[in-house]
Amino acid sequence: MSINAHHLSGWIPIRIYFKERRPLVDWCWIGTRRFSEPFFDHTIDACQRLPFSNLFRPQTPIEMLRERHEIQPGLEPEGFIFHMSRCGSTLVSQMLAALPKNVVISEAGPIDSVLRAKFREPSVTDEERTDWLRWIVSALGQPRAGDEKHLFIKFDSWSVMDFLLIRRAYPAVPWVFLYRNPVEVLVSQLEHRGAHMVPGGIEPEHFGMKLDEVFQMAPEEYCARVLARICEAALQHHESSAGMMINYDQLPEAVWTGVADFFGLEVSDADMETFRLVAKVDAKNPGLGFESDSRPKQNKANETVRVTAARWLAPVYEQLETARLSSSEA
Amino acid sequence: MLSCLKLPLTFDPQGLKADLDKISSDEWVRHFNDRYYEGEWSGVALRAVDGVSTQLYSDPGKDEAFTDTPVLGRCPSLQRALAALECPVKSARLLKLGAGARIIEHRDYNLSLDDGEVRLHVAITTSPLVDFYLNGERVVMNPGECWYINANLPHKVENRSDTDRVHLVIDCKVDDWLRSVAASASEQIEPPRVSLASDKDRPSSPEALDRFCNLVFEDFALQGRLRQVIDRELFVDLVVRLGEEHALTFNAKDVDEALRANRRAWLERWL
Repeated sequence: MSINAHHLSGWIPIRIYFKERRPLVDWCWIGTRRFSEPFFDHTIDACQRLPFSNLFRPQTPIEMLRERHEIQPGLEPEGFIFHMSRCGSTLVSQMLAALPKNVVISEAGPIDSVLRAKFREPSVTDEERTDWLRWIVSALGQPRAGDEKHLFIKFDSWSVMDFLLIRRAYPAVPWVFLYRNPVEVLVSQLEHRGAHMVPGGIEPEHFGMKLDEVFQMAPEEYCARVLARICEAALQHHESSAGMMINYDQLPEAVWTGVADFFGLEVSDADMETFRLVAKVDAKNPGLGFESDSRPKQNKANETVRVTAARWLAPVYEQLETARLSSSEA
Repeated sequence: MLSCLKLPLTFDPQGLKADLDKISSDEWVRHFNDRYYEGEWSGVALRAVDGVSTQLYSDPGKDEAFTDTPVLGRCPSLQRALAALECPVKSARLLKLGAGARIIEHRDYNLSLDDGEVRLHVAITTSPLVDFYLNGERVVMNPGECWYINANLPHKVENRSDTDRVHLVIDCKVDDWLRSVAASASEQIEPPRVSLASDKDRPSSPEALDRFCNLVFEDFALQGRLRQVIDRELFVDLVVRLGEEHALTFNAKDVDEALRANRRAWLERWL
């Protein structure tokens, strides 16, 4: 195939995978579509309803991302969102995405594939992953509709385990970490689990665990310990490279009273109106309104959930609260 | 299969146009099917389920209670036009394609003489700069003329003029009267010259399809044409025909399988 980097304007990498130990990229036509859906995958699903985007699927070596980066670098990220999952992070990303001047990439599979490439192919070095991360962010973070100026990335919750690598690629980008009362997160995850809440869904080594160990844990314990590892990673890096800690209880106001300013985003009166409108709808189910569901979540928690949360998550939650409150006083 | 017919029925173009002035601009509602058009495409129902003038949806095959809407009550020429049809009339709508607007190629279903239910068009306001294509052929419908349009076939409209194009669009039942009117139609358009690509004489060749895909990656004009088509079946057909134009022969099944394989690769991306 003689496809070159110039041919791929208007196309987007949707999948990165290994074939005969070589990393490859699948591209899909996106045109001028904005990332307005709650998650990257939803937008790609919507793209593929056009038969053209479904049929024509260029496949290139990963180096094509470097060539694209060189000729069309796109927007530099201005804020990263890390989170423990089920804690309002999608509300934050949806509020930012509602402003036409922003591009928000939410939990993009290709970013996750790059970060966890070391598990798929052990010969991949940290230098390669750092380069790939910069290239893939550049390919995803393009202005498409016309006048987008700011790029924000919401990572998968488990990506914070790769914080140092992300920091190496982007040493100065401000970051926030969202968290929530552990009982409420556990209740939500046990009702409907994310990929990282199923033993083996994410490589146990990613969380410093062993394969045979995770299969012996009770489901509540596995979930709680993974969530604890995610929170501990955020806390640890908060000490060396200050991010902003945000508790679910501060939403949605924290977006305009804290996050926007921290990310250097100017908020006009019209933007405020948009924020308030988006905050009125549930981020993951646009048909429902957003309102704190702490009480029903607390009511659903059984004794096992409470004991498990207290043992594995309460200490780190307290530390996160201390870190948040001490930096807001400073 | 007949693609379209000009029926030997003519209506008073001036009277119909005068009726349009009796409808205020806020009575036009946007067409529900907004995947298929760009610009303004709106309508007013003259006969609809429960007589609601904002109810534009006319479901072929369904025999619900279609009754006159209040809008029809104040439009005498439109009433006369509908009364001239002796067959059972289900829905009747005024459909407006705004200046500069276009309807992307698509098909409707179960609307042909063979289906027992047909769609008739009466042009009211139009322009030589309106391009109506049915099955790849341009059909010119002049004000006051009544046409049978086989909407099962791919069709598209582009209004390149600076005035709105308004048609009276009627869905009615095929009965002996309508069959005899159709049989006596003077101006028949021959069965379609451009037919959907038949696989009978095309061998399967995934390799040829691969080569065609590689051509497309580098050819922006070809991409532009292929992106226009939203309907999956029409798209498959266009890919087969464009392949042929580039001396690459493969069949619709090859395209269909490639579509499925890509879908599968995406759905199974984490396995």
